[in-house]
Amino acid sequence: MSISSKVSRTVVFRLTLFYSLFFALCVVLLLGFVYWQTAREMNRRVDQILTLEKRHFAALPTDRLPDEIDRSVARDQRHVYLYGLFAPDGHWISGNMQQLPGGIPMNGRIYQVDLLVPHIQEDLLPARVMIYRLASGELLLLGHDVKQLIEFGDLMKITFAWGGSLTILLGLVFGIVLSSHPLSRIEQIQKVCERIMLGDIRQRLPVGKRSDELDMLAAIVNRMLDEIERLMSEIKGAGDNIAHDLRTPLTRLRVLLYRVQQQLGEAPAQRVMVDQAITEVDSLLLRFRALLRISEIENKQRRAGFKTIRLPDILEQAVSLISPLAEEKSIRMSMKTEVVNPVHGDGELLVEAMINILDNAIKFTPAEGRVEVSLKQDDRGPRIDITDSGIGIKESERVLVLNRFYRSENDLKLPGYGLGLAIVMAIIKLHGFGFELSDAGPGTRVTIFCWPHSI
Amino acid sequence: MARILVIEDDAITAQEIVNELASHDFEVEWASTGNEGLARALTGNHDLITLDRMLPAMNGLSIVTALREKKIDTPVLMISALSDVDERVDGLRAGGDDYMVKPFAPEEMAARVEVLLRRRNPPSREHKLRVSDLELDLVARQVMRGEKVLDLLPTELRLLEYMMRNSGQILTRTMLFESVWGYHFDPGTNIIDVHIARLRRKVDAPNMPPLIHTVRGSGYTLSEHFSK
Repeated sequence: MSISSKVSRTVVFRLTLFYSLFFALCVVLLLGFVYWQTAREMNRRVDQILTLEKRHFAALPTDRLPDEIDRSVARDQRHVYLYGLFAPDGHWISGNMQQLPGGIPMNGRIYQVDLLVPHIQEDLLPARVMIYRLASGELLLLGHDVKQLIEFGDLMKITFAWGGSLTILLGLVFGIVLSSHPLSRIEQIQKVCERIMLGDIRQRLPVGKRSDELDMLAAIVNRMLDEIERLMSEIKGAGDNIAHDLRTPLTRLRVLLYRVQQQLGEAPAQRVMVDQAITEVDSLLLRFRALLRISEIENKQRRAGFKTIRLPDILEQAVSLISPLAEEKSIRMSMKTEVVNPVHGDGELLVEAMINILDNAIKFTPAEGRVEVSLKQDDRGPRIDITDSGIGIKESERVLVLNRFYRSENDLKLPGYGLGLAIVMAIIKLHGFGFELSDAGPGTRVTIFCWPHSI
Repeated sequence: MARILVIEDDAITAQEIVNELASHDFEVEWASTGNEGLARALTGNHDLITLDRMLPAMNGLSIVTALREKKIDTPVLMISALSDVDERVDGLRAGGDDYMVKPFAPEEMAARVEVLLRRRNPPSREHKLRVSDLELDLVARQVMRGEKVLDLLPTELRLLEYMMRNSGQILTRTMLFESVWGYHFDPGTNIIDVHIARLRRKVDAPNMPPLIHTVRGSGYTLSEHFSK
């Protein structure tokens, strides 16, 4: 998901945008109201003036009207008044309106019209105008130019546009800024959750100091994780306890069998049976030991035993320890190591992990096959690949084989308890390394990424 | 006849240890508390002590430390329920000579006791180890069987050296893995058997009297005379 679509999906962003749209609408309404009120007031005043003028002229005798109109025109420095006195036949007598505009009822009421008044303005002039017939039959036109009001309206329209779009723009900016904080929180939470899903149940979501909605949610999830972790460790603990508790009676059973074996002397039939019984008990004990070993490694939270390790040495030791096993099966075992950065770890545990991996590789590779170990310096750290030409692991089983006791269908005929890779995983996790099983077509490739990973 | 002091608070475990050691013709004494054990260890003239790492009231580690401070260097085999490598390191650092994790197979314990007792005899100043017609030159790092020089890999040489130094003793797979390779985990496979088999093919050529023997259910031994 792109960042912009992420931002636009946040609640904060949507709320902010909604509010700014709403606010912009309010601004428009308010300005509209102001305009409407102002226009009404201006018109009222103009009308009042016109009414007063009408009264003034009406009170004068008809013969004084042309002079009085000329004087009024001369007084009007701003050229906002319109006067016109016409003979009953519509012929001009005096005033700055030299033609009687058509279309206006001559009833003395005020109308708003657009007039052509060449000496004031070239194009049409908006004005409020009244015409009425004097008692003597002449027609008197009184008008007032309302150009200002129209200009004021235009100004208002521009203000609407700017005000509205600025409000919306600011809303957008605020929305993005405000939603970036919850988004970064969500990203943190997402990272932690990914680590938890990959098995690191000890991780907890970050809880801020502000106790906002996200904090409350994170706290609830954390409590849930606590509970899950407790239950998981209870289950695992129960398993470990069983292994631990059964080990002592099994050892005693073995002691007894051993005594019987010692005292039987040469009684071949019984002796074979006792030998078998001891072998069975040994294999049980081995399984329990491996189980306890896993929890022992898993519980090693501290890394006190960690030192700087040279990986080529580790691989050398593991390969030299296990190579006779490969030779027995005529499997060609080879090792290629590059100069790599030293890593921080527990050498003996890493040898143990390598032995388990190599032992598996040899077990699942038919005679005359090959097992290759390679050590390379990757961009981020050393990387170990163990590739075999064996039967491979089905994609569907690649995660399962890492679990305790899981044994592949192919594997059931071979000796083992399905604990080897679980031990490997415990060791890898303790080191914080990465681990991957992939197809080497044919065969399996195990890769260990020796740099901090979340598994 | 070697005298062995067993310091162990759990009666059943103690009984197992005493029985097993007695069956190997050792003279065994049992002390059930730390104080009693320390007192006896200080006065008695023992050849070896098996010591529980965790005793009520007194830590096994402090007993070893006390003994070593008094310049008593009786070999101590520490037996503990704590299997962690760090615990092992602590035990050995305090002055223990070997470390075993409970529960254990009694023959493993007996084999370790035998090896510790053997170690007590001052190592020969000779630079050659000899068992029958097998000879290992420690300086030249060369092995001869009769007149024939054997071509051994470094690991095989270390394995053979350990077996020759403890010839006649039963050596368990765990002991071999710990002593020759220095690892304390469970290899989980038959690696040791394969290494022994390889060494055996080089040392015991066909139609030669074999020197490396398998002790059923326990481990291996290298000796001239071996009866099953």
